[in-house]
Amino acid sequence: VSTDHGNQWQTSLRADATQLVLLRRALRRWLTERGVEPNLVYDMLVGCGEAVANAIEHAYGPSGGIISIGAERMPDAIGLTVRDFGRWRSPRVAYRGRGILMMQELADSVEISPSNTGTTVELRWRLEGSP
Amino acid sequence: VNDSTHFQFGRVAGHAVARLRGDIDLSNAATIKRSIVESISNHEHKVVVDLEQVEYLDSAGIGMLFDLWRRLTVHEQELILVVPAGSPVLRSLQVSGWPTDIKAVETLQEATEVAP
Repeated sequence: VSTDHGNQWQTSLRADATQLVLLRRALRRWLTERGVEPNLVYDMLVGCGEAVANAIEHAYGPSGGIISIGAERMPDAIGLTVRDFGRWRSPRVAYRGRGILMMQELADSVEISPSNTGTTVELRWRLEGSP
Repeated sequence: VNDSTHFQFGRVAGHAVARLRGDIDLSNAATIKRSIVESISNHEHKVVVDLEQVEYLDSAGIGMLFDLWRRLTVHEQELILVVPAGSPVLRSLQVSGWPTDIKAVETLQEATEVAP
């Protein structure tokens, strides 16, 4: 289920890796329609994908759960928010930490906020030449 | 999604070449690694993984390439990646802490010409 209010877009998906490609397709379209250039769209898809993959791998047990994704077009930036409603287990193998490193390299800012009710990851990209 | 759309195995100039295409992410990285490993004979000295047609690579896909590299290294087999300049794959590798010990070249021709 997705909602689109022009500058704000919201969707939710099952915590299942097969959903990643569907999310990328929808998010790519939304970002492109808002004038984000292709290289930056790729960075945003990878950054957001890493946040969602982390939630898929670490937030829920085998029974799964729901992940909520929000996108916002601000006058001078794009914000992407990934929220889960579970509790992250610590990564079991070293390379899984690579996802977080990639988010930090790709986005202008990354905020990861764990709480008792879930974890929120906020990614933000400044847009060059914005008014 | 059929695996064959992501993976094709063949020989170029006598070397084993795995051509990957499409999106590589958490949903298919493990399957792709298995397909590559099952296609490699013990007699290969060099294995080329061609990433030119890959449109998306996430950290699970990068982890898969590292696993493959470690596994081949144990068997004294060399892994060479084909990663064109300006490709989506190069972007993903760069933000993940590239370069590393894994050999990468820009074209398939270079990969098959590198001395074994």
